[in-house]
Amino acid sequence: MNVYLPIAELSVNLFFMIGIGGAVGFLSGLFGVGGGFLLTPLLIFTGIPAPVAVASVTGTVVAASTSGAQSYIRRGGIDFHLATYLVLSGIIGAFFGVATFSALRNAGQLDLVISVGYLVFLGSIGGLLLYEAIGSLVRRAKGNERPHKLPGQHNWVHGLPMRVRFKRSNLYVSVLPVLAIGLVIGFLGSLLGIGGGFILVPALVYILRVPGNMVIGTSLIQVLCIMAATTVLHAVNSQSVDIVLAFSLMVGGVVGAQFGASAGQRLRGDQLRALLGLIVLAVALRFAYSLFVTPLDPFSTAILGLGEA
Amino acid sequence: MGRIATFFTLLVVSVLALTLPVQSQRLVSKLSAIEISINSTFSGESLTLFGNVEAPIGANGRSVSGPFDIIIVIQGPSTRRVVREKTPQLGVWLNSEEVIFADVPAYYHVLATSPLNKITDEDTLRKEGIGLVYQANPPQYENQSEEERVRNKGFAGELVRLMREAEMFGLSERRISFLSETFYNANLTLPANVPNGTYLAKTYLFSNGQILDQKAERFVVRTTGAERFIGNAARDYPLAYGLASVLIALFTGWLGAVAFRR
Repeated sequence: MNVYLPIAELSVNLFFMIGIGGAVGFLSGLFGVGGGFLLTPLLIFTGIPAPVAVASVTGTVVAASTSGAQSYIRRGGIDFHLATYLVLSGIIGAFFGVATFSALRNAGQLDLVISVGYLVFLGSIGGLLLYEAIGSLVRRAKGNERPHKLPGQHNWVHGLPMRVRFKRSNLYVSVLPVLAIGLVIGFLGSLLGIGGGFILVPALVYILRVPGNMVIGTSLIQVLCIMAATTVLHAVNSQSVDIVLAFSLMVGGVVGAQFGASAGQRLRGDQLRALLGLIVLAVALRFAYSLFVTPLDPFSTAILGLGEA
Repeated sequence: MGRIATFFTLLVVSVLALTLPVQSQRLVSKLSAIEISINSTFSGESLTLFGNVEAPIGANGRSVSGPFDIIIVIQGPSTRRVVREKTPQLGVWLNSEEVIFADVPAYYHVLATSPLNKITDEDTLRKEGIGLVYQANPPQYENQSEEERVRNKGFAGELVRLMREAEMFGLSERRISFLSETFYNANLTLPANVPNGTYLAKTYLFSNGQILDQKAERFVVRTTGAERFIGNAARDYPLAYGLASVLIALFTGWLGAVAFRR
């Protein structure tokens, strides 16, 4: 059954789109990530124009993170004080991200920046995940498993001024790194159409030392708010949010995430991370391919507006 | 007696034909639809274009004499387009060259009874702007170097190719058929992603390479129903549209979590 996407202005198969949403939702449930970084590339590779893909996925990520945040809200696994700082700076970042997005789109370089951005971020994150997971798997195979320990309680970040006490997370840190993290995630998320959870979680853990029981919930709230703001910004700025596309994806995604979450309980953490690393690297390689391999057709055309006649 | 009457009748008719101003055949044309609606299940629309070659006013049916050729040009709204070329810069392929075309039809299709160059000569085609190449006019400006001119011409060629590949430009040289000596009929399937706007269907009647008559009909392509509403809302009320999108997403996510709560 075909459905016409009013903003992308093309017909797509509805079940195919729900299927993509479901498959990515399954993976996001399995790995506990937002899935935007897989969804946006998949849409671009299936022929959805990059601007529409990026803007619509932000709406889909709102649904996915709302769904995910529910259980953390009930369990009290969210540091709202910390989230406020992250969200406020994140929205400023998103504002710059959307402005950059529009400027690049007009200059015809949006696809390039999206490709390079994905290559760099997915390549490095995928590589790190895989490296860490393989190390862990090898140690386990050798039988001398190391107990997981967080790196030391303090680092240089904790020496910065303007410290604020976050009671929930049991932290007393400078707001500067908090604001900087929010800003960067907001900027990248709105530019690349990703929630940024897979960058935010490591940043909260390794830079700010947010305890494990607060990390995921706080990150989800930040992603939810930033993506909601980004959706509105994209709608106002470039009118490229296709709600029909976003809705088909989020229906598949919300359902898929439930199955992914139950499947995830049967796999060990390091196996999961190795698998996620492989998938992330595969997407990064696909972008590298489009950047470095001679394109089949170096020419492309885009509509700028109404004609003179 | 009968023979003499026939002779006089023929004589009168031929004298009349000589004295009357030379009037050519007229064209009567029609489209199967004047409005094409794009709705949620839109997957392309078939349009029938048909018509008849009529005798000039005041003449009887005998003066319709073929053979005729018909060319129909279907043209969408005019757009400004850019053509970009990727070239390797330090090993990375990126868009580095671009040419802007100020007036390119969003959709353009030529239907004909036989190959265009068999119907008429190149000059007539150029004058009337019939043909894909005349739809991509490279920008002209003062002090244009020969190098730039050649480059722009190359980009114009690429634009036509890209538009053909996207099925937005097309040439079907044997698509119109005559069902009788004077009645022609053609079918055109508009692709699923035709842009909205006012379209023009121009029909030319040719005989021996000369244009005898031409007619133009307009038809409108537009999205209807929910798609039209969504498209308009996104354009006209972007803030409300964005907020509504977020609310839909929040509700869907919340519903999913409640429905699957374990």
